[in-house]
Amino acid sequence: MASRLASDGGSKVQFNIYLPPALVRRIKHRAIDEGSSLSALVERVLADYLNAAPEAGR
Amino acid sequence: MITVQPIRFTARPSAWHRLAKVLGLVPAFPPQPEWSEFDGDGILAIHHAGAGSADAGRTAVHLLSDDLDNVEFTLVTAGFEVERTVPEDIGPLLTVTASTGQTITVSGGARRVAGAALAMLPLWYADDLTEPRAILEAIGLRPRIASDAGTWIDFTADGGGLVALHHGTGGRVELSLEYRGDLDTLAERLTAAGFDASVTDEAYNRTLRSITPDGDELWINQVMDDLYGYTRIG
Repeated sequence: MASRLASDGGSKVQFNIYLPPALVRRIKHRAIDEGSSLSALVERVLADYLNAAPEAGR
Repeated sequence: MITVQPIRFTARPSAWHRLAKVLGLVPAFPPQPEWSEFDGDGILAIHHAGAGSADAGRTAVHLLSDDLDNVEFTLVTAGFEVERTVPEDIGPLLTVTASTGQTITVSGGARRVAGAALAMLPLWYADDLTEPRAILEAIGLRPRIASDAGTWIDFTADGGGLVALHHGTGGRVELSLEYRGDLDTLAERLTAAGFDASVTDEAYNRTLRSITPDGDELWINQVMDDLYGYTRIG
C-alpha cells in the first residue's frame, strides 16, 4: 500500500476496495455538500461506525 | 489568442524533461538546460533555477498572447496596474500584480497548442477569487467550471491550456494538470519509468498524484464527468 504523510502530519495509507457505483457517487456528493475531502469524510464515517459498533453489539 | 504556458523553475531540468516526455508532452524544440517547452493542451515551460535559489521549485502563471497591446489595454481599462518591460531574451512582457502580491505575466508569440489529452492547469490560490477572476478575464481567458460553494473556478484559453482559481491562503501557485485519457494507464506509465504515481478518488473526480523532480506533489485531475456541486459556465 502506498503510504503518504497527511496534511495534518499523520501517516496515511491508500486503501483500495470495491463499492457499488451508486454508493460511491452518494458519498462523493455528500463530501461536496459538506465541503470535506473524500478521504476525511470516509475516515470519519468509518471511525464513527467502529467506535459505535461494540455498544450496538451488547 | 491566449495560450497558457506555466513556467516551472527547477534546479533539475533534465529530470523534468524526462517527466514531461513520460507524461506524453511533446518537446517544441530540443530541450535545453536553461529553457525548454513541452506541448500538451497548453505549454509547460521548464526554466533552470540554481539549487537553493528562491525560485527553485516555484511555478509561475505565464500566458502567451498574439496581441499584447490589446491585452495591456484591456487590463488597464479594467483598472489593473500593468508593468511593461522588454527583457532581452523574451521581448515585450506585461506583469500584472494582484493586490495580494501575486504576479501574472503575459508575453507575445502565442501559438495554438490545444486538443491534446494532457492540459496545463496551474492553480492560483487566493482568499478571495474576485480580483484574480477579473484579471484572468481581462487577459482573455473564459470561465469554464465553477464550484457552487465558490471555492473553485477554472478558465480556458482559446490557444490551449487552463488556469484555475482555488480558494485558500498563501497566494501561492501550484502546477497541476488535467487529463482526458485513462489515469490508471498514465499511472502505470509513470511507475514503469520510475516515477511515483498513485490514483485516488476525490470528491470531484479521480486524481493521480506523482512526485516531481523537485520533491513536491504533482496532481493530475481526471476531466470531471459528474458536475454535482459544480456548474459549467462556458
